[in-house]
Amino acid sequence: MKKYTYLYIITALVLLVSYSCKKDQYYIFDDIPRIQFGPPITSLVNVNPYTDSLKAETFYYEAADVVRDTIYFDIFTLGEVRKNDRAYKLKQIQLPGVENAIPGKHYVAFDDAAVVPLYVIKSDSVHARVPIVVLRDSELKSKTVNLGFEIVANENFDKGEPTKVWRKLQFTDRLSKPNAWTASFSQYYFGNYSVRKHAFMIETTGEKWDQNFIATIPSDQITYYKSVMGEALIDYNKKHPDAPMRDENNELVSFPN
Amino acid sequence: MRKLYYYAAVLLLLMAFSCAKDKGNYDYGDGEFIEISGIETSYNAISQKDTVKIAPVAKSNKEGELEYRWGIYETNVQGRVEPLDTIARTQNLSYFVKEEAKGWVLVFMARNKKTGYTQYKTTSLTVSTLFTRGWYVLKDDGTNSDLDLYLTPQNNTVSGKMEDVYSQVNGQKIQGTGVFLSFATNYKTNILNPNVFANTRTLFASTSKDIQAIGINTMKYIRNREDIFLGGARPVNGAAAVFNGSAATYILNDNQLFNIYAMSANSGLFGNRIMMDGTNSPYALSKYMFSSAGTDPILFDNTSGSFVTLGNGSGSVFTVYTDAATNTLKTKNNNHTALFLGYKSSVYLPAPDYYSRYIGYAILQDKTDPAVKRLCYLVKDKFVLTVTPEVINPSSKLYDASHYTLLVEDENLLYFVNNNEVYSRNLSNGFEQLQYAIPGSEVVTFIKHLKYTESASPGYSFNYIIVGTKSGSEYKIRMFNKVSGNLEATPVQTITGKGNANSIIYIAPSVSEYTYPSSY
Repeated sequence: MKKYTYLYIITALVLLVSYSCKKDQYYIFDDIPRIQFGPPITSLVNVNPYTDSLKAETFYYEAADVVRDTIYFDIFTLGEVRKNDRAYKLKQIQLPGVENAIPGKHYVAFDDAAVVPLYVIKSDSVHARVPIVVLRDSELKSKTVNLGFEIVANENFDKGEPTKVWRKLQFTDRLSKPNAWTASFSQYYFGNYSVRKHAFMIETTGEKWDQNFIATIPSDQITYYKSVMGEALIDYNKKHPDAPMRDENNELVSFPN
Repeated sequence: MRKLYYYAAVLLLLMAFSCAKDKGNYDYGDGEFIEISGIETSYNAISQKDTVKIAPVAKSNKEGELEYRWGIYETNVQGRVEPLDTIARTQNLSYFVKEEAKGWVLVFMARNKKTGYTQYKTTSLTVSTLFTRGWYVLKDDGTNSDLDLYLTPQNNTVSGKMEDVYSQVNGQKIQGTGVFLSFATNYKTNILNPNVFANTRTLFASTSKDIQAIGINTMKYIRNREDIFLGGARPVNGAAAVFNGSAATYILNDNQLFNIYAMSANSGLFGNRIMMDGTNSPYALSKYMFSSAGTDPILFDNTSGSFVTLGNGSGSVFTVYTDAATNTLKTKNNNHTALFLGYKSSVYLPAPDYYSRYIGYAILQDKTDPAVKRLCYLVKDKFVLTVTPEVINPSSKLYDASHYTLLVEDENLLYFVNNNEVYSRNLSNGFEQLQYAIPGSEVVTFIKHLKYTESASPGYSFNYIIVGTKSGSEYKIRMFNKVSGNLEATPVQTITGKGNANSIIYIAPSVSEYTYPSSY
């Protein structure tokens, strides 16, 4: 027996080594399907978690016969894709301290039969664009309304991360701050936003200065317009020595040098 | 001992199973190699003029007939991928070069038709054009301007001339009388690819009515006053000039300054007029500038009597230079106008500074007493300007001078013209000396010190004082060597042409915005 001891030991070691291997375990999503908002699908990498959580829109640039518009947010599912379309549900939330939008007056309600079929995740998909249909009520000429909304759990989805189940939309028929007028846009080019400043930029340059224009303007043209606006403001204030340009908050309008 | 047999048996068993039968299809014969000779490492050619002829020899160590192909592809391409274009299917290449002036690669391919084996050999082809080397003269007929190109095929000595080369290529002359020539390699255009704004070797010809950006490779107009400014066309008035600073390219037009900030993406369009201050005070810059690709410019506002700059080439408002503690003539509101301002030299400051001071001179005239003129020694230390004035003696030749040029990075001399005679003034001791008396009825139209070094081809290097004159409807440009700062008795070469010559520049493939400082 003793003469086979080493052979036994070697065989045992080989067996142990063989048994030490184990098939890797996949981590399978075993939660219920969930849904939450997110950034545009074109910029999913390295984005601020609150990107696109607040949007602002205006009817200001639209023709008079445009009475409704659609603003889109992005929504994503968690869990396996399905072969069938899956509806999700939204509801308005009342935002404190601001003028809240009224369904049917300022926007098409989320439970309106006309839009309910739009709130759906298509088969084999994990993403959808969420259409919010806003209405050009006459009182938007003099006010800005706010629409807060959140996901409601239904038979298809439970809510996702708490910080990503809501979105806000501000809209008006007046000139309003485009989303592309960011903090860095203020810091490096045109200073703090005001409606008066915005209108002055449009009057002076003949450009719209809307979301698309600001988001796509080349950097050398921004610098050019910054200089043009600075010069135009100086000339304006020289012509109005007793009434230099002030904004709607009675602050002196200025452009950084 | 027997235990060892067990171990050996187990190991041998394991090793036996680790072996697999080799089913390789090795060929132990010599691999094929096609030896190619007769191709140089590089070739130079002038586009639309030269034919590149190469007769390579290719020999394979295997049997089989060889077939050949020549291709060409572009180098230093931005924003696209260029394919290999086939230009010949013969062994010998005889190719009329029509490519853009830049670097290309020629590829020779020899393929054994029997074995399919192909051997490649590449060589570089540097394409220049008739326009990429020579002396350019900006001239006018009193109404419109044009360019004459004096060719220098062997060295800086002129051998051949292309008269009115701008209008020959573009079909029309440049409006206005000639003022200033300058050159930049970092000017952005999209002439090669509409979607990409890339560095373009550009000659700027400025006149009293226009500013032309001209592609040096083709001599074709790229932009002019109609489309060189953001915001649309601008009128050009007075002594316009394009010049280079350390972080920007500038236009002086109608005594106002415009810039392109070169440190960020741009489309080669000049921005809005720079303002004098936060209240947009009116200003009128002197046409003279002190600038180079290594530093911010020094400019002089004749309205306020102030030395100003655009700090780091950016912003929308001038910075007035700060006075050095020793200044008796202030940098701001000094009640003078500028008769001349120019770049002289730079001095690198070693550790712990690691930057350069820049030295120049200005000739200022007192507004209150115009009879008082001052020669000012300028030292620019970042945004601090030392101004050391010296009243010019009315009896000196400099007092009534007209044209000026400083000897850049050379002897401490200022050359100028008085009563149609060329003088030098020693800037250390004020000694003035007649250097050249213009003969006959000729009238001086400009003087310029130009210095250029081409280390790879020393025959192209020069260090000239250049004197341009006009007599009747013809110009004459004399290029003088100097000895210890003094002109030799006769010019090294003289070029003549029709019209009134106002500015000259030497262009070569290695000339860039760093070659000559921006100064008259």
